[in-house]
Amino acid sequence: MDVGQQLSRLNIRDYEDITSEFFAITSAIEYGSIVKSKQFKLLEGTHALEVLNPKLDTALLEPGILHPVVETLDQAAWVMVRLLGSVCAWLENNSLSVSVLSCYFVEQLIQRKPVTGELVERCVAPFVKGVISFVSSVLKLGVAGVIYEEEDLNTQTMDLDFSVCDGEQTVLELRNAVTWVRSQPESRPQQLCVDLLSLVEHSLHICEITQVSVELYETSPQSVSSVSFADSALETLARLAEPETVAFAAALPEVACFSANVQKTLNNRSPPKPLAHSDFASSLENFTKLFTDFQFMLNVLAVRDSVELYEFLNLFMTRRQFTTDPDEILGNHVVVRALMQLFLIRDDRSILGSRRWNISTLLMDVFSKISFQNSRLQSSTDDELRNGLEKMIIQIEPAFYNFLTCISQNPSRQRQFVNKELIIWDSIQVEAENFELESHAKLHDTFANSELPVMPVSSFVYYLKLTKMAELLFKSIELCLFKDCRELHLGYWLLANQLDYLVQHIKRLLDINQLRQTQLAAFSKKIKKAKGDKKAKLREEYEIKKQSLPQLQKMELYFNMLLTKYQIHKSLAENRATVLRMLGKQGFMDLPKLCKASEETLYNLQFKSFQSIGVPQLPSFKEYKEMMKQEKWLASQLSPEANASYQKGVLKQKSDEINANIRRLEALVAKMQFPQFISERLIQDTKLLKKANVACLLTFSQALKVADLPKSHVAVVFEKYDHHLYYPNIKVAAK
Amino acid sequence: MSEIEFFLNNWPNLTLMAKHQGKVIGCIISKVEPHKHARIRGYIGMLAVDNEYRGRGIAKELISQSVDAMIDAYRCDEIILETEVVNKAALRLYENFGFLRVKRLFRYYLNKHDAFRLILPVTEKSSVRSTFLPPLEDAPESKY
Repeated sequence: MDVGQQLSRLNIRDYEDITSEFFAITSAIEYGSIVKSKQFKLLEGTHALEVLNPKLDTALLEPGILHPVVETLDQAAWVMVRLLGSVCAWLENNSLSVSVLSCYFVEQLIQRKPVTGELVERCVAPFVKGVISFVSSVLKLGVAGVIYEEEDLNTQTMDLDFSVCDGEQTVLELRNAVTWVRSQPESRPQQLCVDLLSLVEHSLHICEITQVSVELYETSPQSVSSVSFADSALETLARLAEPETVAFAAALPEVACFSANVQKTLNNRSPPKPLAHSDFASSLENFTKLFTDFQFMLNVLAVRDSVELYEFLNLFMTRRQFTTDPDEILGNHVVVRALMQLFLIRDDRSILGSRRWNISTLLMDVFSKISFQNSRLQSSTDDELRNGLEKMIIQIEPAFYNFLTCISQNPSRQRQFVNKELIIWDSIQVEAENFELESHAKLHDTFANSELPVMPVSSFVYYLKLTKMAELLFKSIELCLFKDCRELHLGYWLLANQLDYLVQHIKRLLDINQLRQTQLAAFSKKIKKAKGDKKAKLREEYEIKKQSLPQLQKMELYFNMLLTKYQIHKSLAENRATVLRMLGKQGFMDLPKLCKASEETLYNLQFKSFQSIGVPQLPSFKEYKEMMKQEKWLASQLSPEANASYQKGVLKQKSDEINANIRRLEALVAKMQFPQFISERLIQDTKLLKKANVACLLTFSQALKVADLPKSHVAVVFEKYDHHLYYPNIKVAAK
Repeated sequence: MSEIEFFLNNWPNLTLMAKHQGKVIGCIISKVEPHKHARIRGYIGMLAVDNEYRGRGIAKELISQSVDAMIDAYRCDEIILETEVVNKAALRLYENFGFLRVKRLFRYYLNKHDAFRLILPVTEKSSVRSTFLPPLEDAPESKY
């Protein structure tokens, strides 16, 4: 198409033609050279619109021919099904211009322009207004700064105001529409229209949850009466998802009311793009996920203390939906992720809008339960110590806040948040240790019959740091950052190494817990021996401190649960590393053929996040190689058969230990008496850990079978579906 | 102006072409810039080989020459690129040179799929967080 033809398509009437002047000026530029104005950077030029380039100039788009006439309920249902698909495409991170705004009725109603026809006015328009109102409320979540633009959600509105449809009025119109459709002669599309109108109405209530304020630990999801709409929505969705309904929807007559016209006519910052919409079945899946995840989120109302809250938030963060696509990682629905954070942490820093709980009090409660309860620092009245403690808490708060915001991120961002948090915890640990060593002379808070200081602040910081270090590796495995046997081996080897520190530290936390319980038990003797004022003072102190006994006992149980859990993970990681090392004999641990980096440089980059961590220090590459050399030497001392038998014995023994620990973990979870939504998820997790344990032995047997084959004849595949997030199945087979 | 023109104009020596009988059958474009004032980072922006000529090691040669040029001429501390999680062929190709997956990027290409950020470490600097590296001396500021 020549310039003349292209210009004629632009339908320009109100502009002055400067074509000849433009070409006269630009003729001075040598062909193939680039000229740049000082007013902008060259990189900005890559984002510029190229006029008359069909790939970049939306003005060249062919206008869509519209015939937005809706005369039957069949047609009305088609419009609604298709628009629902457009909404889902938007929620899947497409722009509004290619999805929701591609609908003629949306474009008209959002600009307060009329739409005509009885069916349109009575049925389609209320649905469209409902969609506009839903998009408006989700946009508010999107721009609240808790999720990422163009990564989680695209909030470019083409300068249109989606808040034109008032929420309450829209709900009323939707209900009237349902009544009107129901009054029509009974038919299949009638029920479909009713369900779709109801679904949109239910969706409008989702974002209202951020307006609900409750007292943390004192509410239950059932007591918040306004959330029952989620049950109704899921019932409606189940009805819509019946195969006959989905098939019926697919056969509905189309209406010419979707086009790319807005990309041409409205304020558009993007190049031309094809329209996006989900099919009906996918749309229903999307909305079912939205309401299911929303209901899971509401369980936050049912937690009874900060331990349960902490467990729940971790479960919420790691909640995934199994998918057969190995390259997809499905976390919580984007709307629920954004909602969760805005529902949990309010503008005034309160938790769930509570009058009693905010970020600081929650942090202090968690801190107290982990290591601070009944410490001498807690009861100290020394101004210097109290100021020092306050400074420490101020430093800890951003790291704690980082965790609270991490839970709402997409799976990839979660790892980046943890990575960021590591540096904060590491620097706080240094400060905390300095503060507590300096204050030791004043406090002399030591373990029984020992000079070893308890150091409750450092113990808390170190505990969180170690859990984050392990979490970073867990998430690296989940996100498939370890691509092959060599890298996965490194990951599991370091994980086992770090979990060893964590297990040791939890034992220390248990020691602190025991110390406080022993100190409480010793009060009666002290009181008996004491006389006068001292006796009364001791009795008073005891009365206050003994209130913490049930909490200390619960924490003892909790620490035992954590200890067992991390021991299981440590053993599983060790077993995986052993099996992967075995595959190394066939060359599966070798560097890639054309590798332009040394193994040491790769090792250091792989563990970049841990390079700056003071304690525990990352084992050096030399230490890693030394371990590998020892393993090799050990294997060389035995015949291949004897070595295989020895390795099998080691794996089997560890596997038995894992099974015993899993049984112990299940018992501890039961003893903790968590709410059902927590205990169910924990038990589900232990089932997958059991599976990972068995799978590892199976991988070993498979590897043995192909041990004599060259690498080129052996296939090693990592399978994720239906396996634990952190333990993909390693399948070894002859090709 | 396209990104290709931007790269070509600023780093002409990092735009390499493979030709057969005068016809361009493959191309790689790269750039080198300081990253966070702490290290020199090379970036592979695009690699393409004509369908008819695939499977003959042309892409490998282009990557190899581009990487060598970035290291030799610009003293890069690391070389990075992004590729879609589903693009197994590209992943295999780059990972064969030692590129490591350092980050997963959620829906990076504005569609359903994520991407991996891959890094080839060249010097020790690539394995130290920027915060802990001294600022680059005499580093050219990004002109563009």
